[in-house]
Amino acid sequence: MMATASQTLSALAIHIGADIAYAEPDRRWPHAMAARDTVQRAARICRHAGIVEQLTFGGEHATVSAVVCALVRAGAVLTNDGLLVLTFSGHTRRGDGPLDTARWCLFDGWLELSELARHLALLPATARLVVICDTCYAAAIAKTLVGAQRTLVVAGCSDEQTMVDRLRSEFIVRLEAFVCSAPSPGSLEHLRALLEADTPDCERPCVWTNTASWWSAPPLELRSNAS
Amino acid sequence: MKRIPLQVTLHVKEPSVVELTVGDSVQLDRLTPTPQGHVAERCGDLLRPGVTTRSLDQGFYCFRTLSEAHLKVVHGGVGTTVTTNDKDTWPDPKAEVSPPAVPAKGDEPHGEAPRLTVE
Repeated sequence: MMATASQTLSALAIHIGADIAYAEPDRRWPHAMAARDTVQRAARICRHAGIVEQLTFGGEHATVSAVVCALVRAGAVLTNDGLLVLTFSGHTRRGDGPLDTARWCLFDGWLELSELARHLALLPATARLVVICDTCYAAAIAKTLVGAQRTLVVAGCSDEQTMVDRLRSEFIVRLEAFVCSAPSPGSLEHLRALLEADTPDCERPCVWTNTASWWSAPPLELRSNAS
Repeated sequence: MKRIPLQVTLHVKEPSVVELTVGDSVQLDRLTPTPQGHVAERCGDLLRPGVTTRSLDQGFYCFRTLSEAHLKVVHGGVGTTVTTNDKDTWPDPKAEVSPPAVPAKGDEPHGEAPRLTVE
């Protein structure tokens, strides 16, 4: 359920499982097989972390307007110290232009990383942002962000790499196991080591943060110990 | 020129043994047919830099590498296809045996890929 504009939220998750890219020129692309599994796992990760408010967009519901609307609303309702988790699984068209012109492919169009970054920059400046990217050029978002928010990006590959689409994305499987492990997960540094281990050089997960203290803190918690 | 991965599909026509020489850590996937198309599933441990010998059952396999690669068919029958991850190009309908496409989550801009040699 989405909060109304008059409500405030301390935590919110938006999961985009863009398994179908229906708009030209991307409609030839095959369905992104892992998208549904990824958003389901991301939702479980967030639920485990205590995030109650979660929005999921998949299939024909993963439209440009729906995603943009959700991002705008997140900026309006998130408290100053709030947490937004944004998950994207689907295709990314890199093209031959600058990195920020790469775009997440949605059902009826696309969202350029520059536009995405602009929306995310409108979150409260002291909020925290976690972006889980299961797509080609996944870590590119880290280089295009322009906001002041404390940010963590967990990406399935680097900003120069493509990902093979499988039934499940190994890095999100590992992420779920790590975050949901009892009694408490390790630090972000531990997570990075876990995600990078035993992966091919041409498709290596990437963990990035602009907040140095986050490395010694758990990757996902409602109350931040990383400042 | 951007360096892009070499993407190789192996068509193993009968149980075979191959030696693969690679310069980076490489994942070998088996392509399994499903109603949704071929699905890539990891096949064994990563290939580490150097020479690795693998026994392969009949079927399609693929790997991607950032370095020059060499394939030696020790015995059996193995066909190879080198592809680029270009989803804007339709498969050639005249191809004798079209290898299954390796599904990816994005396009691959133009760039220079390493080479595969086959022995």
